[in-house]
Amino acid sequence: MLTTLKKKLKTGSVLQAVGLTVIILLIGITMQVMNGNFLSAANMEVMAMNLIFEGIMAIGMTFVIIGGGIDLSVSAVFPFAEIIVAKLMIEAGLPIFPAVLITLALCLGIGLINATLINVLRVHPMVITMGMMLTLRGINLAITNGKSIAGFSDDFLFLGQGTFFGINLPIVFFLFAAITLGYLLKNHPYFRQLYFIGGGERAARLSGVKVEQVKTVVYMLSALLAGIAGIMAAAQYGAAHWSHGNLSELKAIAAVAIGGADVNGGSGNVFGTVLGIAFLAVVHNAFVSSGINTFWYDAVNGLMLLIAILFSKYIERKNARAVLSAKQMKLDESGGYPKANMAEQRA
Amino acid sequence: MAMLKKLVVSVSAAIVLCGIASAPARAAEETYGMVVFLKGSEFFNWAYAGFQDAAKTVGAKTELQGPADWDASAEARAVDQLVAKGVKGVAVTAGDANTLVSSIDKGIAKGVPIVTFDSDSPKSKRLLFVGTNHYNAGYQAGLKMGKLLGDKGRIGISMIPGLDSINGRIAGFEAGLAKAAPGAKVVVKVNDEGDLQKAETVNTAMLQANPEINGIFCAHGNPATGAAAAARNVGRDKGDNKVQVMGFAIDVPILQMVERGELVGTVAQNPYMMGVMSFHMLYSAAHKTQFDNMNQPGFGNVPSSDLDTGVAILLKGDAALKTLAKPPKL
Amino acid sequence: MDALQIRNVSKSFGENKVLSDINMDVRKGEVHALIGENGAGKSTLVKIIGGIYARDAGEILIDGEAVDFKDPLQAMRMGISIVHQELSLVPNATVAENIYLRREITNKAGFNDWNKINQQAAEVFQRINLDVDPTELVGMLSVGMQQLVEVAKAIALNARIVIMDEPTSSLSENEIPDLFRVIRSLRDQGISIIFISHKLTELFEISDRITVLRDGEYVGTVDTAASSSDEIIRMMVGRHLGDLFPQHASQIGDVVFECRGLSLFGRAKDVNFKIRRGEILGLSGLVGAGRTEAMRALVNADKRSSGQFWMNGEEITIENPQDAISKGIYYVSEDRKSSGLFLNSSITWNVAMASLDRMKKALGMLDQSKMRQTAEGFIKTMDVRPADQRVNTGNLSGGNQQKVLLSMALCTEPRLLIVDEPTRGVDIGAKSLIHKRLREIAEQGACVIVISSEMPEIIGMSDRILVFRTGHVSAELDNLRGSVTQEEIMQKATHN
Repeated sequence: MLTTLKKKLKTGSVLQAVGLTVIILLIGITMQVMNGNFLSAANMEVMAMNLIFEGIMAIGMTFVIIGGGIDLSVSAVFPFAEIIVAKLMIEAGLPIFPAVLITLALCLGIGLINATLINVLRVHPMVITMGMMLTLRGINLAITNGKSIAGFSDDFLFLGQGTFFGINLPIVFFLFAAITLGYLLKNHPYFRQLYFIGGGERAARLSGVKVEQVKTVVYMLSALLAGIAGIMAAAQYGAAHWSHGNLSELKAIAAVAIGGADVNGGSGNVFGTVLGIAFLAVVHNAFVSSGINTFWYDAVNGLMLLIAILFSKYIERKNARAVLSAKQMKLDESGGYPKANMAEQRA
Repeated sequence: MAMLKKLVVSVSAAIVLCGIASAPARAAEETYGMVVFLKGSEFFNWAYAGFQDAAKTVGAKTELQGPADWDASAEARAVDQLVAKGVKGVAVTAGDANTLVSSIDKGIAKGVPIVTFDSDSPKSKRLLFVGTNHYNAGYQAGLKMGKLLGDKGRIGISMIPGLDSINGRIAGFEAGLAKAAPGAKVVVKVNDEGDLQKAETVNTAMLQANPEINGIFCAHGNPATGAAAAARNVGRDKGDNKVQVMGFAIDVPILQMVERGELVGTVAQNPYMMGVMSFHMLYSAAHKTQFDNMNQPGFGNVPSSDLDTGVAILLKGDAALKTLAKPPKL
Repeated sequence: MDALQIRNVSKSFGENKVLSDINMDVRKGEVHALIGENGAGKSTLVKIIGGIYARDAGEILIDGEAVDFKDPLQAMRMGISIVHQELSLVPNATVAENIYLRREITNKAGFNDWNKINQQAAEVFQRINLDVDPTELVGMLSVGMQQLVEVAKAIALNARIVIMDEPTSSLSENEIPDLFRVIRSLRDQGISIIFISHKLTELFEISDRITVLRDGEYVGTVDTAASSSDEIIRMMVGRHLGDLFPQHASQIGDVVFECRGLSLFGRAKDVNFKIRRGEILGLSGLVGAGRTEAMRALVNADKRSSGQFWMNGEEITIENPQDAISKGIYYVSEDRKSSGLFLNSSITWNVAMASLDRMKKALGMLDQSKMRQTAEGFIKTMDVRPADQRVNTGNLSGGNQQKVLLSMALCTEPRLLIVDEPTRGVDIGAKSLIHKRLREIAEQGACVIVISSEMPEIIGMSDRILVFRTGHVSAELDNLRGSVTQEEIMQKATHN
């Protein structure tokens, strides 16, 4: 057990998680000491709700990024789901259940289109999903003439504004999704394939991984989560509007990267992403609480993303360096001949 | 005993006086927030500058929140955060009227005064709206056009249909025009879709189909540039038969076009005053007044209807053209 | 009953027929070698057997039953496993997870049963007598060890036929016996092994029978014991090659280049050597012993910790590979695909890439006609096929890519040419041509350093040999008359 922990520490993912947790706590403590309201129930709720929808999207994004892809379209799927569910309920008069079901089916369809285009055209997913984002945003504007739709029933509003044992429903859903999907990603053979696809698509294919099929499932999952977030957001704000969730895809990606996933694919986990989103939320809250010019907020977020990437590269380097140091010691001893299975690593 | 009584009275008076005297010092700890849907937009920078300047007069702090890219839901979250943080008041311009309703109502319920400025959220419980009254603005523009062109005025209007604010401006414009020049007429209205290129195309077509038009009123934003280009396209940008184009914006390019005579004038809203008045409304609502707020008991008294910050019709040579061309310091 | 029968299998890619009427039988429990020049169709045949490509015609029978795989997974389930030439492991996953990818052991709920997976992986390693921790991340293992994990992966699920595509190409000389031991133990367990390699000595050591392919056609199958390397080479090339290596240096001049105290942190320490005009210096030793590392440090491709250099008696500095080229020192990478060639560019561009400075005309514009002429010159002298300078190098065979890579270096007219594994994965015809060209360059007055893991190549080519052991130069052997033996080098490479 201890050796596995050591090994994990060596890979840096645990170290990054610990570091991130410490930073989050430090910011929290500092804010509490300075302003005294960080730990107030009101602030906690606001802080948790602030990036909750980005957080839900980030869970899906984790899967996509581990598989070596990226999904920029979530920020357009999100208001798309808002608008569709609003149109179905308010304009077409459908009850909640079928309206939500149809909306989610459409979102799954968008994920399917994304994945199919990526699989068939073999173009970088960034290009495909950006195209999808711009197209969907145009559709969102066109079908609403740029105006919001409001007037949901109270039952529907409960999805966004209601609570479960005193916790807001979107937070409950986020936790539920993070735990179940996180467990699946860690232990289910189907989702484990993602690590192989992200780590080396060719190799994965040769090992019998159905790369296209897995990617399709993952992009559909990402769109589905963005859709669920959109529906809950429509209920939370009581309105559907094309502008909702603008740039949320970048926050979701940042959360995944700050959480320690390799943006090139092959590593990462949901727990890291949860920490990443918590970090973004705490930093934003600190900015609002301290009243610093919020123009700097985006700069700090971007900087943290870069630092997170630097950090994981640093750990990688440090590990390589440790291996080298051991060898240099051998060299200095000018000693004997290494065992057959000694790690003769090539950088 | 009487001595003692006197002493007690004077001491308590002194304490009360001190309390009053220290009121501005207490205000120094007060923070007021402004929330916009497009942080960094010049129009909102003007508003925030006014908000800051007004806050300085009572020693209060201010902060600006909101997304860098249009997102009404981020505004709602910013309002929630400011309320949770315990600010004394929030001025918000609604990126979407409906989206902000629940956040504004929650804030009001928690006793934080909230006003809207520039873009209203009329279904919410906000104390009042501070901004341009569009009918009045259009009326001013109509009066000016009527005076310029007289009874021979034949006007085309470049607009986007379906927006309450623009409809209000046009109704006001027609009323003002009738008042100043009863013989003048609005000949046609065209849809420029809020796009420069489109504005040039539709206005050119309009001038070709209706050669009698000698004035264009652009009821919103930048398309004035397109309308001026249209006049140039049909060779009527100078001389006796010049088409007089009036804009509705304070962007620097529009101001320069007025200065160069390419536009006859522009309708200038007053975002700076929106900021100033929003602050004063919030400050007043955040402090007990002798008479309680008439619409929202518990808050200090503020006007019970919307507050018009007015417009100015800026013509060539007006000093305000130069003032507005310099962006505000934040 | 033969374990695998291949009957009249054909395959074309577009117009290009790569396999026609191939027949081959693999018996149960035999090591069956498959050999042929690059482009002979070995890899395609392997991919058809493994279900990665679909055949156009013919039949494949396993234990006498016709099969038709739609994907690699089906083939795997039928007991066919491929150990690919390029590693197919994922560095961020554990050894055990890599082995059981797509064949995970799950609990009732369908989740991975990590304990069982690790336990079974350990049993597999026990079966082939390897000492690896199944919970280790693959990325932490050496390349050689990863190759053995590949083998373990191939046999983990009751494989009946294991195909190994050049499994020794990334192994060092002392890791190969480990692999052969594993192969023999598999054979003794009744598993059939198809073994692909370019190295004849290996084939003769490990195989029971040898099948030769040439230009997509079946040439024949022989019993290894009853055959000779001459016979196999004849079957492969259709002619007798005679002496494989060119003559050694006819005359050796003054010292041209000297290197003193070259070190790379953790990889190589205190390397000293001199090289003379017309000389070929061979660097030998096990993979990872510091040969490649020292040469990369020499041109500062990996930042060295110390080192001094003299060119024609004058001390020079070498800041980076570009600087080295400008001073007449060219290092040709061992990995032509990822750090040598520009696979999406034409032969012309590749040849000229390192010497664009000389390809300029007025106003600093590139002289395209000069570039074309230069490329055509090299295509002729290096016998690049197809002889068309517009072809992208990505579409060339390995041997022809290597020729273009060498042309790119020669185009800069280096005074010191360092070639790392110049004939790895190259067919015999190209190999002998590259050897000939290297000797010609040396005879024309350049110095050449050859790094190679193949003993015969080192001995056949070098006039002098530096043997590396664990980061040091352990011996310098004079080989002007080709008198050094493999045993001698092995001795210096492995023992004090």
